[in-house]
Amino acid sequence: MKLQRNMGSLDQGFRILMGIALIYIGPFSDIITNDTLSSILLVSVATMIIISSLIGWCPFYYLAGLSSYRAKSDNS
Amino acid sequence: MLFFNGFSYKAKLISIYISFTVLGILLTLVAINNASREQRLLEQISFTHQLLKNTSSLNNLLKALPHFKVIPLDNNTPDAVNFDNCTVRLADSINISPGSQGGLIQGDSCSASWNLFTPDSNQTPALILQPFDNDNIDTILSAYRNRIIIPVIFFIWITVWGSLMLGNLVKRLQTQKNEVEHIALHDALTSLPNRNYFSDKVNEQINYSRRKNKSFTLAVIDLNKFKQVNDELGHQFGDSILVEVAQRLSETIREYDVAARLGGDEFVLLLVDADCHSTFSLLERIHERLVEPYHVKDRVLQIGASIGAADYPEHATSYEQLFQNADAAMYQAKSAGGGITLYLKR
Repeated sequence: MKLQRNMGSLDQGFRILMGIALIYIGPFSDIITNDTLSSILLVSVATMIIISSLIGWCPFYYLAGLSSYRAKSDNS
Repeated sequence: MLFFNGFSYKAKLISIYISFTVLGILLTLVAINNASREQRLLEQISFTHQLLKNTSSLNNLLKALPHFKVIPLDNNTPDAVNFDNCTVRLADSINISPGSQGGLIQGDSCSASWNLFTPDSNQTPALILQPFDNDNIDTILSAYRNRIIIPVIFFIWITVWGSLMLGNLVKRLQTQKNEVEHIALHDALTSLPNRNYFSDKVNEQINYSRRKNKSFTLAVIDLNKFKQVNDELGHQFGDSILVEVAQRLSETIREYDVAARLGGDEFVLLLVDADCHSTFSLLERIHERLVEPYHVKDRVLQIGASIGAADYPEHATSYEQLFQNADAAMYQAKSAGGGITLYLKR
């Protein structure tokens, strides 16, 4: 299956920042929680959104029929 | 399940979804409450164990911590102890295995943790009881805050995405269903309704007209010398003319009439709420429109049309008979060289 890009540049940048923030508040900080399960969930979600932003393709967008890539092209 | 019968499919799904969500949250709260209680018990036992390990004399320890209760383990050890305004049964609750540091005793209306004191000297081993507080709401809330906030946000996040995905899936399936239905009920070349759609519509109209005591007209149209066009100029020309005929029919009939293609150059019309005498002018307009020249690929072609019409309920009361009568009228028109013929009841 060829991955058709479905993520705009703004979305990608936001996801990278979001991913780093989630990894920080997961295992590296006790700001919100020091629970193991919560940390695992945060790292899993962070990993997913960082990988998806690096390849520019989000499986959730794909399954939900959404795209931020086209919206950006239309605006420009 | 009788309770559910009055609800729509969507309402049933939503209620089942909400029930499972509430059940899931309740089970999670209970699990976290149990886990936090167990954690606090382990901390209490571990703390007392450390105190006892660093103490050689129990008396000194008891002076510092007066809420401890010491029960010597010898031949006179009682089965039940009155402790902190309730009774705990030692014999049933405590199973001292080698290496165990302590545990929980559940009393009538209270609970206590126990630790084993094993001195090095000649002192008798003893059981140390202390109240275990399981009603500390701040500790429970703190455990909830710490453990539940991220899983709950994750649950909501995944639920929202799941709903979006399901919504998209349903939309795609609906689109495919509509496409399949359209293909099943329409002619691929002209996009007019096909025989199945038309017969359903006529049967619906028969039921409606019978109830409301109304009449309608069924007309059959056949193009004259169409076979000749196909044979001389090729099927592509023929197909282009059929598409043009379908377009002219759709433009000429009224909004609530139905035009369909049965196959080949045979078209049918359902003209509602009128008999064929009152719709004769409409049939004339259709005929005039159909015999106008056709411009196909730089060629101008002229073809004729034969139209036969029959009435419900004057000429027949079933679709088959109505169609047969209109077809017979159409053949009469064709044998006369084209035009419009109304069915005459013999």
